[in-house]
Amino acid sequence: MSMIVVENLKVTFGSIDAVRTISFEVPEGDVFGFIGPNGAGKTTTLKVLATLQKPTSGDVIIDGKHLLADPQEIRRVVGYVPDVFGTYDDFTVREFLFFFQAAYGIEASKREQLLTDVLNLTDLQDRVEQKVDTLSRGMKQRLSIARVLLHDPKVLLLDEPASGLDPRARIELRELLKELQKMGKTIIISSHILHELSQLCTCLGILESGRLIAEGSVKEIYQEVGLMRLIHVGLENPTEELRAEVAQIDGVMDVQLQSDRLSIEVQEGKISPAELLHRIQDMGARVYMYQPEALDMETAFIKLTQSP
Amino acid sequence: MIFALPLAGRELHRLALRPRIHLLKMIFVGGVFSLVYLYYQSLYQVTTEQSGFLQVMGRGRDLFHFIFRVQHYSICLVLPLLMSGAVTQEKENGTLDVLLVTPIGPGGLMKQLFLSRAVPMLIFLFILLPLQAIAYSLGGVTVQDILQAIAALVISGLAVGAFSLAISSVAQTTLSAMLSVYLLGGFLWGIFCLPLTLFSARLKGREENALGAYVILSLFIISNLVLARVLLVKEHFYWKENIQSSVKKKILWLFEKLKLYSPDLRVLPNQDPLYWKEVERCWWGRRGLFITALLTMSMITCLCCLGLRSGSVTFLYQIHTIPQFTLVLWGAVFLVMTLCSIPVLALERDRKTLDVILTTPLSGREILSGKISGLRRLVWLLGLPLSVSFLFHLGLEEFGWQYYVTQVLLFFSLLPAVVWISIWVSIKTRSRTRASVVVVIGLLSWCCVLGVLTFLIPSMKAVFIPLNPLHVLYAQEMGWNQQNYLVWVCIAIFSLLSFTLRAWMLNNADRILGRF
Repeated sequence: MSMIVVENLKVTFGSIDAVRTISFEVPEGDVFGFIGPNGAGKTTTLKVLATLQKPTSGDVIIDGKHLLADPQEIRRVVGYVPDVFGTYDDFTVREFLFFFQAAYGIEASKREQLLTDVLNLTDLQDRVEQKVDTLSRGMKQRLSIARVLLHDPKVLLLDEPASGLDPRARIELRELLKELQKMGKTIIISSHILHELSQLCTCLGILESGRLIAEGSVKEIYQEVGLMRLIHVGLENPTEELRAEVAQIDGVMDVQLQSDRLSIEVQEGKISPAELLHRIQDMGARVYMYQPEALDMETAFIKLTQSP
Repeated sequence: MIFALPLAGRELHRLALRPRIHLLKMIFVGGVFSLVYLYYQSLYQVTTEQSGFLQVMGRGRDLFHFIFRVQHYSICLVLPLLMSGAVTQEKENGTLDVLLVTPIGPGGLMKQLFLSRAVPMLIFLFILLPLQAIAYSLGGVTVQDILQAIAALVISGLAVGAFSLAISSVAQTTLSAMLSVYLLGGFLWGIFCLPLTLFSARLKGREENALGAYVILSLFIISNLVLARVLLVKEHFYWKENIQSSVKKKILWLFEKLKLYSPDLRVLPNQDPLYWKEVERCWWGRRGLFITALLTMSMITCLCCLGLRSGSVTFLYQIHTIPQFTLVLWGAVFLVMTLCSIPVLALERDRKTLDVILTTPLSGREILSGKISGLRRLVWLLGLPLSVSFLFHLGLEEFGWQYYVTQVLLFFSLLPAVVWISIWVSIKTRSRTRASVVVVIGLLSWCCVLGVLTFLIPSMKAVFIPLNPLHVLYAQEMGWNQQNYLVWVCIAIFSLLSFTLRAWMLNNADRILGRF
């Protein structure tokens, strides 16, 4: 069942089309990644889903509720983290979270326990009395996520959550999001840091100039763009004959013979790395190293967004 | 770039591209020309009634004096609007760090920022030269008078500008800089008016030695510029925190020692989170501290009124000093309320916390009424001292209990209208500084235009006066009781306006705040 259904969504600001008739669905429990350059319409789309921006046309259904008909109900099932943290720097962590518990109308008797739970989940339990402005960027981001978890929303909308975070904070954020995915949350996450999204998301949508130019699982997108995977094969007996034989395999686009190895370019989806290894060994090659390079979302993105 | 002053060049270029600066100039010129025209008309009528048309000749000195005073007061009131954002806007844009590490350095930065704001000030001065030419053509004004007037105006402008720049270098935001410049500048009013006093004395034939005064003013300008540089460097490179925050902390520490405040007694939000944020969490949410502040401010007002009363030599003088003091208080109250209302929602919007609040189930009405709850406390905090100064009028002949009642009612009808207008403008305007300039200049222009219309079309007086709060307040303070019913009409109009604005904004809060 789809948790989020977006149908022909269009948002215009005066004469500028920020979002030009996009449609997509996100099944319950999925992590949907929005990829796109700055100004592609990611934030506008997320703002529409968060009930902060009225669509010019189109329909949005979240958890079976229509956005325009029932925005107040949608606010109860959605948690939104904007691209900047949206925190009160002069509050302590406790004050900040209590403030939003009151805003969501959570019963006073449950607040302390809930506070402990979300702080444990976001690993901020030692910072409860600390002022928000003394927290690092990574901690502030986790605090923002703790805030949206207070009312236990079914859908999380995260706008550029990893922007400006150091590698450690990014890994922590990724782990936290995986944890939330396990809890059954449906997450829409926007980013232009592609590598990170490809690791985390079950489904991706690539936006450019307000248009959804590709949508599907990571694998489907790689196939769609005909992306090449480079595989390094270390051989004890590299020969020109072997290179020519490998080049004949269906799905292999190019083979380079180097001093101790073959560098093979394979079209993604046509032949799997495991099958290729099997075929090379069948040819009598003695393989001492087999190293398929990870596919690169950045290359896929550039391919998809380049001018025809 | 202009004379290898990149920052000054950039600022001048930016100011030249801002339509509101040109609008400000037009309003300023239009206002001053109208005022001078009205003054000329009254001068012409008096003289021709006495002894014929030609008698206006030779009266240029009166007109010149009037123009000089208008220019001087305009500089003192308008220049802080331009100058107080000089450094704070760089802070708000996050460009101060970048500028401080360039070869321009802190001294150069101050010099160029000062210069970039002084040039528009000079334009404001020279734009009125044709008026001085008219005064000169009427006779009675010498070339030396004109040169001295220009020198006096330039030095007043530089003094106000240097003071505003010093405040701007330590303030955190443009709004707090503006507020501080106007409020602290009130205490230094005597210094800023020194050229005016000396020049007026000269025009009245009492030649005084101005050199000493100009030396003092020059020292004041230089010391303020040096202070601005020193404070900027100290705050940026040496001090751990902003001077404003540090002063606030020291005051709270003092109250803590006096057992009036305890940081540990912080309550957590229960039902209404925004009320908690705006009232309960702030110092004015603590009953003891709030009452202490109320009493302190009332005591200060009381002491000022007592001082004015006992310091006034004659009863006639008392009639002028206490009402004038009350008028200044009115001005300060309006300014504080305007500048405090503007950031209420605009600050949340700028920090993106408004987006976060808007995604909660709180209704727009709850958000808006929660946000203004802090302003209600502020109304009380400003209202009580003002009402103390109203009480001091009761001993004067022209004022009775009716005066007291109407003033209190005026306070409660005008202030909410100003608050709602300021909030609405702040939502519709992208920057807080622009919103404050729009509201302050807008309200002043409204009053000035109505004032001019009242003079030009006397038959419509009964329509224009109640719509002009400045006129009503001035008339009230001057004890002009002959049109008392117009005060009640004014109260009714502005009460209705406040009520309508409040009802409209609360009913349409969701749409106004930007959600559906």
